[in-house]
Amino acid sequence: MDSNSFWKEVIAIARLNKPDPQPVEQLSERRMAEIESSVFAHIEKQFPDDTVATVESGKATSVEPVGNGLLAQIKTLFQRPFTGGLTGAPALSFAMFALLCAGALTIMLTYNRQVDSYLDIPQSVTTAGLDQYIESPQNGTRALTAAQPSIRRSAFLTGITRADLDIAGESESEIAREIAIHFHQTTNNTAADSPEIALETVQAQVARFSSDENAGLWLKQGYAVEVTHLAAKRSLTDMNTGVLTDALAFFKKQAMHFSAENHVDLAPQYVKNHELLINAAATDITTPEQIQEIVTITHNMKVLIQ
Amino acid sequence: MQMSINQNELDTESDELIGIMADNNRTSVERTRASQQLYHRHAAWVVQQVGKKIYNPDDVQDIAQTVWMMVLQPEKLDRDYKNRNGKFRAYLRAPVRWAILKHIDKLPFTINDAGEKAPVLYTDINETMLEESLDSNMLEGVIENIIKPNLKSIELKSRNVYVVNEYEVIFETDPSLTEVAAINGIEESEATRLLKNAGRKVPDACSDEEVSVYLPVKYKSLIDPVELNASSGRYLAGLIGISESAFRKRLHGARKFLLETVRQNLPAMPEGSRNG
Repeated sequence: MDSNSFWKEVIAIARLNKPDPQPVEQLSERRMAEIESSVFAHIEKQFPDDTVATVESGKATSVEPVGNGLLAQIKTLFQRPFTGGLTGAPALSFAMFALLCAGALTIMLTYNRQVDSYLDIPQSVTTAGLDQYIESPQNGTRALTAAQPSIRRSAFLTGITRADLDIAGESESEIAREIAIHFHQTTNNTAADSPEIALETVQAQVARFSSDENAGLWLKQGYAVEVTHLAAKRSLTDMNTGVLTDALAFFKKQAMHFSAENHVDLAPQYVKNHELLINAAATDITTPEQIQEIVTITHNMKVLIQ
Repeated sequence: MQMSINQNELDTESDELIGIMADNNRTSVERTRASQQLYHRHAAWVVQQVGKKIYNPDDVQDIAQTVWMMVLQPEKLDRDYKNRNGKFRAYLRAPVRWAILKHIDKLPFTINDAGEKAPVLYTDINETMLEESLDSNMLEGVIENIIKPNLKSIELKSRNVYVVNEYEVIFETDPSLTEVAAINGIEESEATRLLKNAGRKVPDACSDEEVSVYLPVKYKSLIDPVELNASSGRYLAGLIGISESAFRKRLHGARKFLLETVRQNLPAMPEGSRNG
């Protein structure tokens, strides 16, 4: 056996002893989400558009992009597309916060409205109090265990929205534990031995919920529809369409990730309404009829999204 | 949610998305959305292609990321995939191969117009080149993780025969005294002593222990490449001070032992060190 034959045999043995191929085409959701996150960050650099127009005192301004760290993760989560939005580790940990920190929202909304900007929600929308639709945190956490996906979806949406504001205000720790204990008790009918155990219960529930591949879709889309609907209803009462215009711009930004062919289970009606709303964002809204139409469209979307 | 694309059908939709990505008249929102949709259509497929060659999930993830970073550059993509023939996945195979080679640090080089060494274009890398590089990478892993650590188990004279015969393969660069000591399973101080002793003697007078250190460390200065090419077995046997037939017999024994060792140790080899 010459030298080449020897090394060829070594290679042949190594090939034979290769590990069984892992089903990497089904790389774990976490890994796929990590790939997606980095790829999407790369895409955003290719087409920079990282500021969001807001209206302050009737004058258009812009919000500075958020920095790195937790807030950036939060922002990224909301900017990511629907299918992978809730699957990565950062998303999971954030989602846990979402549930745990919901209770702080009321306080936050009262004392620190400026944190709204971290969500890219137009300030005029929050100033108008349109985010007050959010229910009490207890209802939200209870709803997370509901049998119907639509209720769980709604609860998750609620929790994550609140927590975004809460985390921005760095006020999560005590309230997070309280909510976790409450959640554990609600779901298990027993008191948690420690806050850590309660936190684990919440995390497990969030992980289960997050395995729903469409969760991200409803999270972002649902929130944007809700805000637009409320903005339209408010505009009907005072004909101040500035808020509605901002809400529509917000919806359009969120909708950039939306792709009907990626969600074939969507009702055609929903897709049609979605397109109508995108068109409305490019239109001057001036008449009560136009506003009413948006109220109707978003109402239909809310129904369909459930 | 991943798209399923029939291999036999033309994928015109991907071509349209690339058209939007590359269209400067489109808004950034439209172009971003098109890029994301393009990624979603092929993300799982790329991972699958990488996974056929690479087994470590961490590596698969890194390589898939590299592929997309490279592919999702609108101007470059527009230029490289200009024919828009509905076969975007055929196009994707080249960057996948390139990213795998880059990851395992086996990217071939070419000489550019300025006479400099530069990585070859990914379109120049074919499947055969990839397979050969993967084999080479796998072999390096086997040498480093199995063969070298087990050389010390071979009887000393046979070990010397094997090391001198396979020197060019098992040592990418000249080995340090530390590495030579490790191969022989001795302390570095002992290797230093043996090297000093050997330096005071003619090669024929060296003990087997001294040869085991002296020969690998001084290989380049000891070996005459002309004589080596003319008759490697006879020449190397003479260098060690044994007959050619004894040299071949010992070489055969060492190889047999090492092949069996490789066979037994492969399943325990560290993950990621034998991609391919």
